[in-house]
Amino acid sequence: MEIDQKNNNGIEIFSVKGSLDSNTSTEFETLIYAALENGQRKLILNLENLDYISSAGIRVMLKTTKDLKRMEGNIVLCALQDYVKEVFEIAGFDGYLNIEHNLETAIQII
Amino acid sequence: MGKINLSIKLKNRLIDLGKIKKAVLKMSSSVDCTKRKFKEVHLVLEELFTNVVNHGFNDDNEHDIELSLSCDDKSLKIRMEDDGKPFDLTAASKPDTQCAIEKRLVGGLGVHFIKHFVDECKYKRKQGKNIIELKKYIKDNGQAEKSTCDSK
Repeated sequence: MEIDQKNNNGIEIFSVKGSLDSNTSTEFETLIYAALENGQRKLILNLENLDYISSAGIRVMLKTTKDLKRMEGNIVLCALQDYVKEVFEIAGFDGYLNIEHNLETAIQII
Repeated sequence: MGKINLSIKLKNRLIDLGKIKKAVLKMSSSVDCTKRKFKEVHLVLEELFTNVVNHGFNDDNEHDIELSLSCDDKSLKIRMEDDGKPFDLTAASKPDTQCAIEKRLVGGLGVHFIKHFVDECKYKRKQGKNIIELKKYIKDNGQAEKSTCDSK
């Protein structure tokens, strides 16, 4: 897994590449929560290059979404590959999360 | 294309997921099947294994987990044996995927994925061991008409 992290006008954008599995999700969670500690409240997860996700990766996203809701922040996911999208649908999380087709629209709506 | 049988000896530690990943790669290069199907296989194996590692044992001791994979161009058979607490995944209840996000629990998702992505699942407890046998059709046009897994 590789994560590219940058801030665009107050929006923290994480571009995730590779696999979010039981081993890599911990690092992903640490990076996200470091951003929340720093006061970031608007997060975008660009999943264009995410090939694989398991329940461990989904757990991190659910936890972040719940915490940001409580903090009155927002999180948007974008550019999901078909497999990743289906896994979210099976989990029933597509209804809880803001999912956009691409990064541009994600930036517009957040 | 081919046929492949793999026997993988694992311990109850997450780092051994790397061995599973390697086995999936080996299978994907040996049999005729789409990348997508192998992502599903990878997911099933990861959830199966991590479930036992994270929840299967009450002690901190090292335990053996045996995984056997038998695959041809049509189907993959998975067999996992562990000496953890009795756990019948075929009887596990489905998580409530429709409730409000505040109430949504993170548990149960792994088993839900396993049941969704395999076509047959069987469980037995024998001589203090959990034995799980799964079958997945890996040809897009060779799906079982009806799954014997209850979550579909």
